[in-house]
Amino acid sequence: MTGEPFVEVHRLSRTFALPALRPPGGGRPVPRHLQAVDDVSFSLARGQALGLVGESGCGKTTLAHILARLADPTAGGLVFDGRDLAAVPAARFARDPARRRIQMVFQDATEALNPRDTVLEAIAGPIRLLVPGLRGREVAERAAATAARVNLPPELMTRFPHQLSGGQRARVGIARAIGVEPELLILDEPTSALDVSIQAVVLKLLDRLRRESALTYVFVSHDLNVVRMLCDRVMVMYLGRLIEEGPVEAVFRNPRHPYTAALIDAIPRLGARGAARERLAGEPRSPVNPSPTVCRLVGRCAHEQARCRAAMPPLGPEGAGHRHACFFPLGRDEEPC
Amino acid sequence: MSGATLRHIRHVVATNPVTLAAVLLFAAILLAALLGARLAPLDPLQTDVARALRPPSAVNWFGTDHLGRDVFSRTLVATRLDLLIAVSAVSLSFVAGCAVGALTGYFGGLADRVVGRLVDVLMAFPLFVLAMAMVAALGNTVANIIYATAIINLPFYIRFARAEVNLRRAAGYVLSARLAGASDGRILARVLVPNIMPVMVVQMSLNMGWAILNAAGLSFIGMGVKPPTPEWGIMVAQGASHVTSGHWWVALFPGLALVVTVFAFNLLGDGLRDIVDPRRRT
Repeated sequence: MTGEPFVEVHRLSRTFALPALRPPGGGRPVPRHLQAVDDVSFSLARGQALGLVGESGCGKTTLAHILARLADPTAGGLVFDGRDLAAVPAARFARDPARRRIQMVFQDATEALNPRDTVLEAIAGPIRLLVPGLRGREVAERAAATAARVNLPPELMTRFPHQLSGGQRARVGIARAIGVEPELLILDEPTSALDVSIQAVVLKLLDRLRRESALTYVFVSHDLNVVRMLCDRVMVMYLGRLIEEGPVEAVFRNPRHPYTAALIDAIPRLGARGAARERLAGEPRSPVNPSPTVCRLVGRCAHEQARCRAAMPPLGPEGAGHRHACFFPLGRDEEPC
Repeated sequence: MSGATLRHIRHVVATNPVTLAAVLLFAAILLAALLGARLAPLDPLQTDVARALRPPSAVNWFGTDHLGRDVFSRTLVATRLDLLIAVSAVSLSFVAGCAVGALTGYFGGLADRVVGRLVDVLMAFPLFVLAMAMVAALGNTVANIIYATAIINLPFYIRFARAEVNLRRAAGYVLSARLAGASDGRILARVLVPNIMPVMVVQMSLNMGWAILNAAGLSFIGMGVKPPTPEWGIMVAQGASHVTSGHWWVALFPGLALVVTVFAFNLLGDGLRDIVDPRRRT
């Protein structure tokens, strides 16, 4: 990394208030909050692709929405290209000059496209609103050029979303985001709603677009193989906390956190049977009112000790390229992967 | 755009013949409303006591009433007034209801709760009695009948628009519009309101029949349009007293006109939904 980071996230948290719950057997109602994102810090250099993985409900979509400035954090800073964007409320961010520079591709393109807009309108809309000084014709030309970049045939431009295939819709969603030439693109599981064969096509497209435009990606996924293929670095989240972060190959070859290891070992593979597999017991703990002094993995982890129940392991070591949040990290350098 | 829209309308009409019937019926009603006074064979106000209560004949197709007026001419001429009241009232409540409902549904908060409670209060009244009271207090002019009908329709539109907008305010395409730099006002006007139009239009069309019945009902009980004016509600009211003496035609024909008009609007609702909903486009 050279110079100051392109994106710097500092101790970002997001909680959602829940209705207070009266304990069984009477007493005062206990205030409750859901800790979706808990004290997450990381930085990202321009042009990097960062994978964000974790199971459903671990807070990765909430974090993605905060990064895309569609939601506000409850605490923490988000510095984008030298400017703290957490200070601008999401409600006013639509008018912010940085809106054009940060775009997002949604998980389900079917949901994310206005059923009343044709493909042309869907792609031209963001260009018209976010790129100043373009005439009507120039907007349409740019929309057509963007459609061509994502390999959408011109004859689809007058179609409505319900007349497109899943892969075509996904490409319209991507075109909407890249038509305004953003610098940071957040991709929230852009392929999870697609058939496997279409997934590969869309992933190749995303990879090509990044190389063409020197885009910075935050790629949210629960598909580790995809992250390994597409990303330079990877962050693993568990119940709102960042538990491991580092270069993709380092993390995949040598996962330090037992949860990361279990995730990697859960990738279905032919042949690799038996040998030292990391397993998790039971279900994740509740993200409601989590204890600040217990490791989130307690109760599921095979390496658990008294210390894990007495303090929350911090993410470290500070300043290292490969960080993890475990008191008793694994060391698996020897294992081929 | 307009070429595609026309093609789409043709497609909807072709696949659903009932819509075609509704459109034709509606066209006939519209024609009667526009040209009724010219098409009427006899003067709807001309009394002739010598020819009172004559049954339908070649001269008086629908017979004559107790003052010898031609029921066919009166029924035809009345179309314009009844339609005018219903269309104006429903348009007023549609526009106001959509605006208030969409705003409160989108922004929520205190205004939403206050408007919600006001709507509850309004709906707690028997609506027809409320309309009666308003017309009685303000005087029974056509304008007041329109306002009264509009106000008693308003709660339905506010609730409906509010619910539909609230349901969609966190939809993917709304987030996506915000990401594209759309302000709240733009999201409401360009994304949410157009998306709730299909359901609102159906509601409006169904409501139209109800508004016609409401206006006729006000006249029926003497709180609406004043007597010499041809209006379906009054005609049914005046004819009702002659039904028992066997002069059924005085009340039947204006009553049938009401039934056919309400029916046409209800059928039209289904067709309109198909036309305004882009998901039905092929």
